[in-house]
Amino acid sequence: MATIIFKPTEKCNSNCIYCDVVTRKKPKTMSLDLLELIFKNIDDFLKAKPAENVQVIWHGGEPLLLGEEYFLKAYEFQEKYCPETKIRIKHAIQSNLTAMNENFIGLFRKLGINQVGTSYEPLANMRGPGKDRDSAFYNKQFMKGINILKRNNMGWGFIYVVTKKSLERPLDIFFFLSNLKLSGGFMLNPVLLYGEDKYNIGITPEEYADFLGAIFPYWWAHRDRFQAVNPFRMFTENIIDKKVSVGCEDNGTCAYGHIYIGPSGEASQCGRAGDWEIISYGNINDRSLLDIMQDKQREQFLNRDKLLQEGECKDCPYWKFCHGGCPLDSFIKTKDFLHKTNRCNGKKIFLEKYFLPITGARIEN
Amino acid sequence: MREHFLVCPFDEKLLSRLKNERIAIVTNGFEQVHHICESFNDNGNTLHCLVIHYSGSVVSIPFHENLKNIPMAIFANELGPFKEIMARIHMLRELNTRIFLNSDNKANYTNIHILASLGVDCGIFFGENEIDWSALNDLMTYAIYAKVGHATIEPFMYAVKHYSPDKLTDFGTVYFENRESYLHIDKDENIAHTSKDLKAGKFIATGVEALSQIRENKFYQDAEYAWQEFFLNENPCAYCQAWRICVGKFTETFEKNPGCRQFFIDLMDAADFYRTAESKNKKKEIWQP
Repeated sequence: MATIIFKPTEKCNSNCIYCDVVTRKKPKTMSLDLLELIFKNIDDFLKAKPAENVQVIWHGGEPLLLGEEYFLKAYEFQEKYCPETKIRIKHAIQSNLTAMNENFIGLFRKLGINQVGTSYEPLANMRGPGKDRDSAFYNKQFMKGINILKRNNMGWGFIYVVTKKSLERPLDIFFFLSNLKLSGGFMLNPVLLYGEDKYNIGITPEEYADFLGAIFPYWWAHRDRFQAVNPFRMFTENIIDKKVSVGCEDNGTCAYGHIYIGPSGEASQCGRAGDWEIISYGNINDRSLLDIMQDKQREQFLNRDKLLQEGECKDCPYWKFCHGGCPLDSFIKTKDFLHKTNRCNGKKIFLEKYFLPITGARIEN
Repeated sequence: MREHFLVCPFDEKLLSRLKNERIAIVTNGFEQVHHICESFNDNGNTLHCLVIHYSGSVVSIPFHENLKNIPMAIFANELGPFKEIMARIHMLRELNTRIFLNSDNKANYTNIHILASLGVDCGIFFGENEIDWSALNDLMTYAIYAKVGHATIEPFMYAVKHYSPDKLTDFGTVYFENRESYLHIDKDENIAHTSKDLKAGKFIATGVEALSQIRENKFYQDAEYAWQEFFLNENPCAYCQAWRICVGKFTETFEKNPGCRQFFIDLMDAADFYRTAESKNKKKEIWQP
């Protein structure tokens, strides 16, 4: 599966404390001509790769700000240019839901989207519009958004971004989030900052490990109650159930699997790499999708796997769950992709201080 | 037949306007019981339950064998001497009745315990005074964990039986207060989600004609998401691990008496225990033609 992190707009109606895209860049939106070109490219790619599928993850900015017409156009372009390959195109969307309305539902269904990825923050003034981040307004709009999804039997899952402000109340936050979505389906991710920590929200890998560690004993004791909470369930499935399945940052297979396409057609490795402008694969206006997917620069990510196994990660018992982590996390620290993640120590602490002693599990080599 | 039960006072004019409904009639005494039951012969309505708010003690209720087939929920403040209960214990066990006693009367925590152990289905209802969470916890522990035989005690049995980790469990159902199951209607045909709303004039509609379209009613729909207010207003209940089984019912008293938190955490554990025990006790079923 080739995953396109598709960012047709950088416009956003929120000023989240951990995102600097809106303030750093003058937000652009992809033209319809370029959108059309993208679908032509997807069709060419899939015809050239008959065993391949494409997943288009709509990202932003806030993609719903594109409006209903834009999504309708995307559907029409797909119908027009991909009549034979459309069955191999899957769409997904990441939205803050605050601009959600009933009209999007039909369009999402046309594109085969039946659930929405989002994010939520119970702590005040972390997410929201305006200088002061009006979280009260934001959260109200967010609830309206999830109610529309629920009324239409559409699923939703969300990410919680762990910041320095979260560290004081790990269990409170966990209970709040699991109460908000009783069936689970959320992920506790560390805040990822590139450059200056303007608002003093950054956390160390060790702090992240201890944040998870404060929640994990409760989750483990009541895991029937709070099933789909990650990374706990993911670690449980990998280590105890022996079903190795990890996210993009840990699976070591992103080299030829991901592509970022931004609003001007600029291509990069993934969403973060595009946002931070640290890898460029040129532009979809000048290169085909197939060509970009085979860019020579990608080889370094494949080689990284080998390098790490023979070097920094040699004999690491957690290799199969981590693969050295996200190359971008290596880049943040060393300006080089070829080292292990700078979050390595956090993962180890979580596993060795919390997960393994509490579960009694052992790592098999 | 509609999916909601209706809860209303005994008013013949109102009943004559209702058709094919399942109805809980709220009344204050036993004088009219048979008259109420007889009035259910018309219009295809069925009596779901007689909800009797009785001001005297339970022992003073004129229980009789001819009440045997009438579903009743009796809400009383006092039980009265057990000696007198014992004189009618066989009949009480036979009735299709649950006796609820008021938590404001401290003796009732023990009374309920004894009543259940005598085989009488019973329950506690929450009055206006502070709840003794510790005593309530003891009662719940007996209701769910005790190995000796006893009758059911509400709302504990409802809560553990209907508890599912991925949805809200509203034990208000045992008190006829759950918007998913019950609608309250007065003699002027004002319709509300709860008896409290009805008394306060917070109506979602007026007129029995509105019942058939109630799910399309804006006020009805809005109430479906009323729980989200807890999350939008930084309410401490939103941060409580027992939220899913309590749904903020005691939010007004939480600050003064946060004992509800531990009680509902223990109730959730009891629900897990009950679910596990039920699945272990599942009898093997052999095929049959």
